[in-house]
Amino acid sequence: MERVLIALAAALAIGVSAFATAWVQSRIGSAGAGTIAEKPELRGVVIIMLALPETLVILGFVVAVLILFGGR
Amino acid sequence: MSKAQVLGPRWLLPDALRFLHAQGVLQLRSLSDALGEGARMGEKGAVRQIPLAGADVATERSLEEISRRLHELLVALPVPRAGVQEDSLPDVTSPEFLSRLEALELDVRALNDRRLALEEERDLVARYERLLTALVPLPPVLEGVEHVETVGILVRRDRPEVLTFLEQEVGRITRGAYYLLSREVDREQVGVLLTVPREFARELSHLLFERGITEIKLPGQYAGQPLVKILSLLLRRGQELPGEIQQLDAELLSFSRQWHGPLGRALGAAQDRLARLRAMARCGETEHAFVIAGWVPAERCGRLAAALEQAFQGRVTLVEHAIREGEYAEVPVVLRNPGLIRPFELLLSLVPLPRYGSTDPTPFLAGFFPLFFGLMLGDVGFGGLTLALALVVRAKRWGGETGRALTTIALACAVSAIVFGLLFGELFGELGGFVGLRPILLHRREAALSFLGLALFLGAIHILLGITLALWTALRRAKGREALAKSSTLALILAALAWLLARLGYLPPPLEKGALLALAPLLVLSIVLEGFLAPLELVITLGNILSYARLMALGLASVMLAQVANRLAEVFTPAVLGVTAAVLLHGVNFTLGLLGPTIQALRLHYVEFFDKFYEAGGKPYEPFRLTA
Repeated sequence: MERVLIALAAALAIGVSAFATAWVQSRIGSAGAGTIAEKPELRGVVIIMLALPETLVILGFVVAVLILFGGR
Repeated sequence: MSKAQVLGPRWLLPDALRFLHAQGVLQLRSLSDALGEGARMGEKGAVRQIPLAGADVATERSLEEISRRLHELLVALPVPRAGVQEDSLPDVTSPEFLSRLEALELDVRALNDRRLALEEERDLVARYERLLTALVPLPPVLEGVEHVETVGILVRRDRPEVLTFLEQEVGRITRGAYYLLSREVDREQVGVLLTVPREFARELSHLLFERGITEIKLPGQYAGQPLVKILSLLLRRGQELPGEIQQLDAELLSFSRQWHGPLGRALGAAQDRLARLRAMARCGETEHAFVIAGWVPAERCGRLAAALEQAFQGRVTLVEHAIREGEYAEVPVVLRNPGLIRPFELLLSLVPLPRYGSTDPTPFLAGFFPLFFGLMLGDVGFGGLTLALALVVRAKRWGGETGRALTTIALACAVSAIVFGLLFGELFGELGGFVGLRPILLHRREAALSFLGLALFLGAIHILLGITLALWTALRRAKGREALAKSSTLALILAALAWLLARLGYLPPPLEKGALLALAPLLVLSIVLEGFLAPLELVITLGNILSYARLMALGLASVMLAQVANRLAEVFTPAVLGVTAAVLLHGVNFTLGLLGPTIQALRLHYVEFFDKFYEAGGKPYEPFRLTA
């Protein structure tokens, strides 16, 4: 039972953060595509904006790894 | 960069400008910027901006018009790849040039008009061919009938009411004297051939126009002829047209071989003349002298001064001035890096140029970008594939100079991935074990926490380097308070990291208390120097370091995917199926392994590293140089 709960917790940590990142990136991505269409010189800023929310899923992944391996 | 002023007698200004244009080193600066506010401009005896004379304004307009016409002409001509036999053109400002240009424009227009007409005919024939092929099996009611007008219409199948409407209205207009033949052309359209006595043709046309029904007029030469004959004529025409279009294309290419080069050069010459005229308006003059202000790369300043002295026998001279800090925002920027590092300047093209007087991050990009990439990909097999791909692109010379720079970066990344692959003992995942590869540094899959520690350690070094660079810039600019603030931030982060590492048992326990004791005064000092946002800055910086966990995350994801691919080969039967699935999954992993690490390594630089010291806002260096 404990193993199941650990696996579920790890899955939630990565799953919820991945969902949050995907949602934020979808909003930034569409706005960014519009920005690049009008001002191509801002592509660097758009890439940075798009990469910012990835921290969420990365941290979610790290938390999942800590849940899975941290207790050993 | 050097701030320069070129001075000389007024009558030599056109020659001096022509000389500077040919040298292509000086970036012109507007006179008001160069002389600064409060300069005596426009007063008697003072420097004034040179106004363009009436004749110069007329020349400027004429050159603009010539440039536009030449540009249009060049766009209309195909670019010749071989067999060039160029003719010559007179000088762009001479009256003969205008007459030659007009003649050439007429020739090109005639060729293009003919081509356009043939293309339209080809489209028309294609449309009629489809329509008539559908209608030809219908009874040949029109054979031998004269004084009739035939109109073709394509109606959408999902709008059958259009046909009913047409029959009613045309019957009313012609009092029943019409023939309407319809047949399915394809899944979506129905072809309709409508024949009415010629006197009702105009009324029919109005009806179709009002109702928004697009009619296809049967070309005049086919009117009154039997459908089968029209079809055969159209088919024959359809076969002839591609040949005629090809012949016209050949004529255009032959014309282009003769004139594309001279016209391109004429455009360059016109633009150069225009640039010189406009440059003239940016220069200053007194009653007897002229002054041209601008920027010259420091290492080329001496050579330009010597060349001016020599060309004008000492009558024109270049004076170099010190750049004030207030002018930094205006100074153009040229990045100067050694050959091996220069390709990494390409990675800076996604962000604005660094401001003049700030730090160029290219050398750090050249060091850390391949390091991070290698840490994430970390596989001898994938690294080898990247290396092979980069070498092929380099050998084929794809992408010109940019392609070469990109392959240099790719080669550095590939070597780094191979080295880390050897350290992690990975070759397409754990297959390295079969050829004797063993983890030297750590086993990425089993020692995930050690891998995380390594990633965060590298992150801490990267971020601390960024703060050190900011400190170095403050020291160079002799800004004591700013330097002290950066030093206290640096010490604060070091103390926080020392406390954390001692707490986790990676450093001796006595250090924990020492670091904690140091934290309090450092925090107070930071607040005094940088305000109450200093503690927040500390938290953001620690968050930045934590962001480097992505190095581990992507690396672990890559090694896990490789393991899944290898398992597929084991579990599938027959073995061929398993191996194919494994190869495909390794292919996907490799593609992701190229994209993900590139984007993440760039992001770590742009967001986390640059945030600490990078000052954007540099203006590109655009010297006054010839285009022709």
